[in-house]
Amino acid sequence: MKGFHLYLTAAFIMLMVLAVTMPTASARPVSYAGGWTMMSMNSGSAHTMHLHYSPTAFTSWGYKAEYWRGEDHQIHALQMNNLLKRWNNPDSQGNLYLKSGAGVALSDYGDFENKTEPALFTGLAADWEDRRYFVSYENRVTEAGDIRRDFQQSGRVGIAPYIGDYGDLHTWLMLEVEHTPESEDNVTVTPMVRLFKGNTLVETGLSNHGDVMFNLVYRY
Amino acid sequence: MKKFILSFAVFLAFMGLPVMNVHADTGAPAAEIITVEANGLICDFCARSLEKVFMKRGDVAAISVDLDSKLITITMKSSGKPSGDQGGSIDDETVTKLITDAGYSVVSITRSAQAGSGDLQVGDGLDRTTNDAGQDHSMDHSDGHSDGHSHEGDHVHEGSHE
Repeated sequence: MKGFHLYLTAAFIMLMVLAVTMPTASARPVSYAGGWTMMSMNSGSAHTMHLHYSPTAFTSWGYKAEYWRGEDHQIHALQMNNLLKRWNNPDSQGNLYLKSGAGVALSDYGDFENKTEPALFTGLAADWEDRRYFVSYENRVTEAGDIRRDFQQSGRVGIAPYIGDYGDLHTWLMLEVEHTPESEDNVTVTPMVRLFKGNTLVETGLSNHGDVMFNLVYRY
Repeated sequence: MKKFILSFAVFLAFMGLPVMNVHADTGAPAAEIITVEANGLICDFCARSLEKVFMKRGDVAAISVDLDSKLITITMKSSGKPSGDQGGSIDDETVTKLITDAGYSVVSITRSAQAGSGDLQVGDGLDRTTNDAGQDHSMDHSDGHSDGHSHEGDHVHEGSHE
């Protein structure tokens, strides 16, 4: 526990130091009307892939595949994302989304042998950003019968060490805290670097559990 | 013969002069430039949507985004025809819809025409204001903001993304 506190303090100090030296970012679940987005998220807890299409600027539909490492199960679902509200201000933007999915969960974990259950999940995601700061929060409830039933939430803060122009390589330093009450290690803290240029966004970091995080988002 | 050639040359010169003047004054192909001030223009990664949405159209020559001044500059294709024909154009309602589809809110739209070496203002001067969702808009007849904005550092993206 002492080590965890030390790690958290070090990450916080690092962000504060970077704050005095200081563009924007988000891997949003809804794209522009007619846009496709591929999102691959990889961390110590899960590997996920989400491919979605946005028929309007307010809704996207797509396929979501998840492999959860801890309880060794998969979820395959049709996911719908809704932009509930967007606050477009001169120097900032805020968003509120509802992300929901329905599909199937598969597991061989423990006593399970080719166990299959219907799976449902839903959650809210909110973000706010200007060209220097970023804050987000999201949660999710998952119901997959005997395979899984839980609640997760996570939050992020980010800061841009420099403000780039349109077309530049943009860099963000972020700190993510995940809370999964029912897990053994129920708090995961991940300092990370987010880079994006053009239509490609990459994030990489290392969690307090020693797991590497790597996310890739491509919009086309 | 020399007199004939000389007379013919002078005749051609007089005939040609007005034509040349027409081209020098107004005859260069005119390309319309639409400048949009938008709210929510914060994120480079997200603003790529503007390129995608506008460059799908065959009548847009280029689009540039300035995150500092919150301006989107849309250059329409020139018609290549004599003065008076502005080439491709998009009405304000469509511009507002496209920008809303890209996720932003329109604050104002101004228009200018680039013909030859100088800019010629041809806009109606109407500023259009949208709500946060960028859906409803009302018009206010202020002078707009076509002057006074710096476009230094603009990155112009030309060509088709289709």
